[in-house]
Amino acid sequence: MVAALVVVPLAVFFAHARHPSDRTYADRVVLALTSPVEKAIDWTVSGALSAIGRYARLRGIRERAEQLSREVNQLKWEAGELRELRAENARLERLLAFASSREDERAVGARVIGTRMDPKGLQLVTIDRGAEDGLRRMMPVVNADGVVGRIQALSGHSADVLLLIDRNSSVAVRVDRSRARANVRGLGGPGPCRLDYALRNDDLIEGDLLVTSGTDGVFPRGLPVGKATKVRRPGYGLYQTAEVILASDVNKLEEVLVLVAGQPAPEQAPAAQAPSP
Amino acid sequence: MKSAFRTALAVGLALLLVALEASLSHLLGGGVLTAVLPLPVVVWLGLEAGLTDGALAAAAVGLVLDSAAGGPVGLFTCLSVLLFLGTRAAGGAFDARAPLGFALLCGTGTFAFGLVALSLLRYVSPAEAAPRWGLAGRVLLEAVLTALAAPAVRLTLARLTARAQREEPGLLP
Repeated sequence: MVAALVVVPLAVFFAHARHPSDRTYADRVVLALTSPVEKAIDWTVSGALSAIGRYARLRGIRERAEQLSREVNQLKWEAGELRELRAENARLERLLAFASSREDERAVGARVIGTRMDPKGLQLVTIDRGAEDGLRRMMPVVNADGVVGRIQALSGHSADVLLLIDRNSSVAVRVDRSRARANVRGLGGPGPCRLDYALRNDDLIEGDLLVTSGTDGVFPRGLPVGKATKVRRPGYGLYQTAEVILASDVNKLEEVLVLVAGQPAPEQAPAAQAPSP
Repeated sequence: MKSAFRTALAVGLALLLVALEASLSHLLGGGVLTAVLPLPVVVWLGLEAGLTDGALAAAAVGLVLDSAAGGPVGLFTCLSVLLFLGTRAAGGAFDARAPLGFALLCGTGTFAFGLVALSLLRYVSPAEAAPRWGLAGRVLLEAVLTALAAPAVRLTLARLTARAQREEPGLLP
C-alpha cells in the first residue's frame, strides 16, 4: 500500500509532466479551501498593519500637534509683542506730532521706568533721562494728551516727575472756551484734581477744556490739562469750584516729553477777552 | 479512530499552513522568502503515526502541496510519502522529537525534498523549460526557513492532538 502511494503518484507525475494540463478538480478544491484562509490572514494582517500605521501616524500627529502648539504659543507671544509695538508706535507718533506742533519748544523724549504713588508720599514717576540729558528741575513734562507734571528731582540719567495729581502740584490754567483763569491742584491720589480760584462769575461749565495759561512760570501756555466736571457755584463767596479730569492718564504713562527749551510765552489775551477799560 | 483524526488533522493543518505560507510570503518580501510549512506535518506524521495511516496522511498532505503548487500532479504526493518514510527511518537515529532535532530533520527533509523535486522536474521538463541548478540555493533557504518554523508547527500539532485525545474523567475507555 505504501509502495503504491509512492509509485502511483510518481507514475501520474511522469504521465502528465510532459503534457501539463489545466488545473484538476482537486486543485480547485484546495484553492477553494485555502483562499478564504488566505483572505482572512490577509485581512487580519492588513488590518493590523493598517492599525499600526494609523497608530504611528497618530503618534506623528501628536508630536506635530505639540510642535504646532509650541509654534502657536510662540506666535501668540510674538503677536502680543507686535500689538505692544504697534501701540507704542502709535503713542510715539502722537508724541512726535505733539512735539512737532510746538515748534518754539525743544523736547526730550523719555520713557517711564518707575512709578511711585504712595498715598503717604509724593506721586512720582521716574523717567530714564536726567541731568546728563539736559534736564533741570521744574521742567514741564507732557505727553500727547497734555500735561503730566514737572521734574522734581534729578540724577545723571534719570529724573523723578512730580505728577499733577500730587497734592504739591499746582498749574495755572485757563478755560479754553471762555479764557477764564483758574488753578488746578492735585489731591494726592489717582482720581480727579481740583479746580481752584475760578472766580464765581467766570464762565465755566461742565466739559470745559482747561489749558495751561503760562502764568506759573513752569508750563508753557496752551497745553491741555483736563476737563472741568462737577462745577459747583455756591450762593456766596468769591470762587466757584470744580473737579478736573486730567487729559493725560497718569496711571498709564509710558513715554513722555520733557520740554527743555522755550520760555513760557507771555500770555496774550485774546481781543474778545481783553479786559475792558 | 486516532489515525483518522490524525489524518484529518494533518490535512486540515496542511491546508491552513499552505494558506498561511502564501500570505506570509506575500507580506514578507513578496515571494523572495519562501518555506514549505506543510512538510513539518509530514515529518511529524513520520514520527508519530503508523506506517499505513501515516503514509496515507502524508500522501494527502502531498496532494495538498501538489494542488497548491499548481505543478504536475503526483510529484509532491510521491515525495511526501518518501519523506514520511525517510523520517520514520531517521527518527530512530536521534532524538527527533526535541525541538532542535525536529527542526534539523525538517530542514534536511525539506532540502532533500526540494532537490529531488528539482531533479525530477529537470528530468521531465523540456531543456528550455528545465529548472536550473542555481535554484538549489533558494531550496536551501527554503529549507532553513522551514526548519525555523518547524518547532511552532510541531507545538501546534502537539497541542491539538493532546486536546483531542484528552479522556473525560469517569468514562470507561
